[in-house]
Amino acid sequence: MTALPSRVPGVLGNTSLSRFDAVIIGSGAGGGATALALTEAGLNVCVLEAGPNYFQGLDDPAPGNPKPLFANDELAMSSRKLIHQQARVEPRTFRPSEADGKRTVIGEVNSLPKTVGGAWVHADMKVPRFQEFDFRLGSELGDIPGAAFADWPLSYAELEPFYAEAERIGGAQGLAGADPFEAWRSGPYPMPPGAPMFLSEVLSVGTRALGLTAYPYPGLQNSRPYGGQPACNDCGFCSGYGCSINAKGSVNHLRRALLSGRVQLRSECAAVRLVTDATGRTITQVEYLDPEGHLDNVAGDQIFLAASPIESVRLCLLSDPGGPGLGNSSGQLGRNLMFHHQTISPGVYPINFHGERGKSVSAGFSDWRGVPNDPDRPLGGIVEFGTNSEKIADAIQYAELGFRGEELKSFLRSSPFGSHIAVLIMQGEDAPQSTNRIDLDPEVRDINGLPVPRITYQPHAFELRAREVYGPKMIELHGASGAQFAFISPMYDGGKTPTGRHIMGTLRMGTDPRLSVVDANCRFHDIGNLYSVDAAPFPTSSGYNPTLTLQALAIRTARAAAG
Amino acid sequence: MLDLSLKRRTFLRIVTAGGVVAIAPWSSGCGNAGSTAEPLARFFTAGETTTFAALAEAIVPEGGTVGALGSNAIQFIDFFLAAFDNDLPPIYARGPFSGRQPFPGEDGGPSSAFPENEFEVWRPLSRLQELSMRIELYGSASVLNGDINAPLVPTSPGLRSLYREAAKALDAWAQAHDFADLAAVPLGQRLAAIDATPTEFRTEFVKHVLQGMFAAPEYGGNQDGVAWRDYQYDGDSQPIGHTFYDPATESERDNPEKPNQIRDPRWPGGPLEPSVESFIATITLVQGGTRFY
Repeated sequence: MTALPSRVPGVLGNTSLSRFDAVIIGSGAGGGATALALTEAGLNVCVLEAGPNYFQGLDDPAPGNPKPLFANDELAMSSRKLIHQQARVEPRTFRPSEADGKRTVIGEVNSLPKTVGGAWVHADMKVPRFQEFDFRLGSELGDIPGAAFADWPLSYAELEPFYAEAERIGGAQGLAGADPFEAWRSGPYPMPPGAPMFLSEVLSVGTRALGLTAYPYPGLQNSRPYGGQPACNDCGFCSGYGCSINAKGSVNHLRRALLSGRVQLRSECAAVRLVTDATGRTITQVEYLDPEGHLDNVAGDQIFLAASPIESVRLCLLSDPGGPGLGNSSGQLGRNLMFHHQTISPGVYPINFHGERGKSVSAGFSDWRGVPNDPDRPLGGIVEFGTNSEKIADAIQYAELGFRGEELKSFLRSSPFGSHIAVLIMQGEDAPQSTNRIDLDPEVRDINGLPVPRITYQPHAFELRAREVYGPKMIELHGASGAQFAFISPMYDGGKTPTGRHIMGTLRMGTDPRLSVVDANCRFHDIGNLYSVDAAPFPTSSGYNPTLTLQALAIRTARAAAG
Repeated sequence: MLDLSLKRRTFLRIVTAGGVVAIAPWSSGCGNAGSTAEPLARFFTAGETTTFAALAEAIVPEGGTVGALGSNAIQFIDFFLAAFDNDLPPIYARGPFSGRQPFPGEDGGPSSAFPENEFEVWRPLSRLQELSMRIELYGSASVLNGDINAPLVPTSPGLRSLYREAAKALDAWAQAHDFADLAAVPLGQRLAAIDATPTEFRTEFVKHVLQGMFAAPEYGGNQDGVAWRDYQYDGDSQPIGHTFYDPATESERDNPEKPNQIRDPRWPGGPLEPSVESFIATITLVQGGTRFY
């Protein structure tokens, strides 16, 4: 084994590796979980990550590592988007439908972080599992005009051991049995729930009054020292921020994989093309832009896409210029893009919730996930209890409303949408639609001269029904909790982009190659050595935060690929 | 009645070179020994500093709680616009800790040891971060392919140019209204001058003033954390945080100074100020929501 850590700038892990059994594109939740599962099977792996690395000592086995270089710094992380895609040089485009022309938006569209650890770095680590019926909604719901619900080619029971593994490695806190709607579990959470936020206590009053059951939100923030990492101290900079003290399980899989000596991670290396052999059915190498922007390549026997459902499709399209895209004999590549449909209800209270303390979300309820085919309980999603932790963003929103001078100061002091706000967010099931999709914008380029992804998306009546049913109840809940004001935030419209950052679908999994892009093991039907290992294979979105499910699926995929 | 404006003499003392320039970005009052950082490069001329400070004072005036001037928001903007004139641009503080908060001790509560201030350490930028920030500051023509999507995406002159032109426009407005400069214009009349500047500048300036007020002090504004204190915001809390975990008892407890699980008796909040309440009532009505009391 080569001595770790790496001394090569930008390269982590075993720098002596030159031949790889597998190349993983993306080092986030899916890429990291895949890397660990593959190395455990004895494979040598190269991970390409488009963004920089801010985990000092990630490949250093010395205790106390890694030391994350993240801070409670709103300006860097939120305003100046340290770990996010920079829309000025890497824009995306958006349109609600083809009828809206080439695009209605150029700029930031549903971007996720580009950094070692991916979006799992900035997440507040919510890890509920899906319910059992989530894996068979095609059968449960039948034909719904305009929607493309489908069964997953696997059941909850098949995925359950991998859920448990992902919870164990990531370090999940939670209370088994607290959610009356949760699927069965083979064991308890590795850690008990951590300290609840004050906000949760206030909203629990209304939750109980409406006959709902709030419970501690499962999360990958340590509530106890775990795996050499400290307990979360509720600094408040969780959602949207990397953890300063490494109490989140953002890179646990990745670190273990790096320490195996079988992984080489190249940061600031953005994949731009998958090169196939003459048959077009095998990927022979991956071309990428190195940190200086020069073209380089790496070969591997198997290729795993973990770049996000948007960027993975873009890569397949960039790899087949003028053609339909790699792996697209079904015509399904890029289709059935889903975000969770967020119904958001702010309540303004005569209370300072001090949202800059806590885990961003420490409680929620699942009652409004609903029941298939019950018109009185349509399929919505889990509801999170949130607030606002950011002071700069709070201040700017009042200025954007036009306030200046003493009026602005009144808003800064009162902070109605900052310290005095409680927010209910329902992560509603988003019906898959063939017309909601990713393709390449015909004109807009990134700063490297490459076509950017174009997102075409509009909601279906399915999720709007859940919004209609549960929205008024959100206002009622606020009232019962003591709010002075409550309303439902306007839905995106007029060409604006969806608010959800849970990006799913686009490389649908299924057993029928005419209707899906990847098979039941997330391998491309058309390309024998290409896999998808993030949320892109999801046939449906469920109504729960997707990351634990995508990690479980990635582990299962990697095990199958490794034989 | 609040004092809505600094007196002109005080104003000049703060914004001229003997005032603002001499103030360290962050003067630690906590456990850390204080700033050891190199002075940061600046962009504004003395006259521009005076002009923008006058405008900022009108946007967030002093009195009662700190305003744009007292929190040094103009220095924040000055540092940002000159970012690439430093060896490492002060765009992203590195951290993880500022030294304002202590390390936890054995029982999870605060110890007497404080970390170094690593907010004073600036990160090197990745290639794409640098390209993006250079476009923002120097304009889309300043880097290869910066204008690649023109005219679909309008070309940008960059913030430095925008600010320089805005300063001239603001002073020209003041002189056209028979004042020596914008600082001489009575506070209540200054906001009108902003209409003499491009829309893009107005949007950016207000945003930058508020960023300067509430960003970490190392960026040049929010002097001594004054805006966080005055507007009842914790700011950065690591490495101590808001919950203390005691390994001996395997239990956690709130930071008594800044509790997480209960209403903070020091900063409990309360009714909105009347003008704010009236606005929220209108928003609620327009959105079809409910006013409960």
